[in-house]
Amino acid sequence: MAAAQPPSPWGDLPADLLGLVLLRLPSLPDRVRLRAVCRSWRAGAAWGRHPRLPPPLPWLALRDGGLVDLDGEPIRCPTPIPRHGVVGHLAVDNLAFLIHRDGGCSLLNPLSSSASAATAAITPLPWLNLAAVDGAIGQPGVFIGIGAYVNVYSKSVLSSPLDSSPDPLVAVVTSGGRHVAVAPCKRRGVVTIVSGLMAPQIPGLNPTRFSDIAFLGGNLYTLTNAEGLLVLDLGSNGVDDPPNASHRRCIADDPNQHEYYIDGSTKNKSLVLRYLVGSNGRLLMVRRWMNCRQQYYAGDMDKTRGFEVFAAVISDGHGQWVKVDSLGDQAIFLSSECSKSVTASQCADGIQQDCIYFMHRIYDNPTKECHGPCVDPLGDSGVYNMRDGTINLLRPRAVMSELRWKRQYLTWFFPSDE
Amino acid sequence: MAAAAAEATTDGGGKMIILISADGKRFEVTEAVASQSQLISNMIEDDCTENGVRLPNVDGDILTMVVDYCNMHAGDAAAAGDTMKASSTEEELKKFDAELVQALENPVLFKLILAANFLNIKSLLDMTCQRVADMMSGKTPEQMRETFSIENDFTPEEEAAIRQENAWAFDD
Repeated sequence: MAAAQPPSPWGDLPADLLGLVLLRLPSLPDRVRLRAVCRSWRAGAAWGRHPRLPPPLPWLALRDGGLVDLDGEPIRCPTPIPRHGVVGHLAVDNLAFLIHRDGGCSLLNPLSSSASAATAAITPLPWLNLAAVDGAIGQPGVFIGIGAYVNVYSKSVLSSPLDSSPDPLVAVVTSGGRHVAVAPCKRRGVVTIVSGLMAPQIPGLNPTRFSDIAFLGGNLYTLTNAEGLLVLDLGSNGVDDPPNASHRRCIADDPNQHEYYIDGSTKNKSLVLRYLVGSNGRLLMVRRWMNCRQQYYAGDMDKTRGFEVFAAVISDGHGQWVKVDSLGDQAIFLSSECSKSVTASQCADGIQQDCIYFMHRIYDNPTKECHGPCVDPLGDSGVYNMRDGTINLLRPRAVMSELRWKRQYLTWFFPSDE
Repeated sequence: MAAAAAEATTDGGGKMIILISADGKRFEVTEAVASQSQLISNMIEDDCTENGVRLPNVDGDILTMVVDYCNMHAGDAAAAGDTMKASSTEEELKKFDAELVQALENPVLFKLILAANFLNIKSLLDMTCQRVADMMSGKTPEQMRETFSIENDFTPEEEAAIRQENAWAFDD
């Protein structure tokens, strides 16, 4: 049958035109399959030839470790999160950060093919384990019982991609935001701990807690709950510094910033969440304003009503937050576990510029999830458009129903196209 | 630069340009129509369109489609300052574009992409590349090969390695 067809010119489509087609294929599976059609397309559509190609659409990580695409279709993971010996996990860009029963931590690439020797699916993080963190904090035994390990860390970030960089660092925030730990992923190194309790305190305020962390330009930045900013210069020495290495404060805590606000006349309560995101060389703080009538644990009364975005402007070690109206060509994906700024797509169904895609505040609520009734895991998700302040559904209505049916909390997963 | 471009569209509306296809067909179009091609627009600026513009890469039947497209879209640029006029034709343009790309046979679509690229007509290039992307979206490599009549030139070993590398993306 193939012989009867006239010779087709499509195999000769030049690489720059294949690049234009790739720009309009925001889904990673489509890009991967295009590269498997013939030799010429494989060479012409290779990632390295189109460095300005925006990243593919993110996927959604389910609380049970599964992955689905933005239409709710399951992704077949060759290396799923092991059920045995793993007590908790966090989503980290294109990886899962695993907390093992023995207190150790590791990074897992769920898309790694088991037979592929080139990239091992699991990267152990021997220098970042609970014993080391306990010891460095000086509070051994704060984690009581095996079940408590689940919630030991609230967030994990990497300084650079695990596979393609020589010496990536991993940083974690412990639950409650009291500590930040940093360790190299691939070599020996000392865990560096920054304690919220040791940061300068403001009289009359609760002890400083850490809201979020982000790597940018070789530094680790830590945002406090009073919008102060600490920087840990990891420079050439990486994390060889002794534990409790000094960090610099580059933006002072603001005593007027709070987590909750109550309107004097209506008694309505607002909750403000703060996120830190590196975006195109800028360090951004995102304030998320939510209406919350009660402090329900699972956030089932939450209603996000808007966002404010600020850029850190730092000179001579002193800095301030300056409000910004635009993300440039970027869009931000926000969730409690995994936030990222990505270059927007150029196609209609891709990632839209100047938009903040946000997830429900709560991700980790295993009790309610297992025993129901489950709150709507997408109850307070959406897309905030910075240009007009509107909030729209995260996904089309039919897809939202599909996702709700999974009865799982969701966060972002950013498959890599490299 | 912007001022020069604006000048070309306003005072160039009346002047005619001859386009000559690879097989010698001649098309007479206004400067406003022709300058939607950035290539020709540059030639107009450089004053080298006197003896007609030879397009050795573009067949007559493809150039017919390109000229139709540019005639249809010439209103865009001319009516840029006239919002009433622009909006009245927007629907028609969308319909015209949709019918154009939908009606394209595979080999014609390929030639039209190359022509849009060579002539540097951004909107036509965007539209045709989008059509190709739509034809690929959601398909397996086998289905893409069938759609575009492409021969699988990987050895079985190569193909197995490619599939293994991203096993999650292939259903087998």
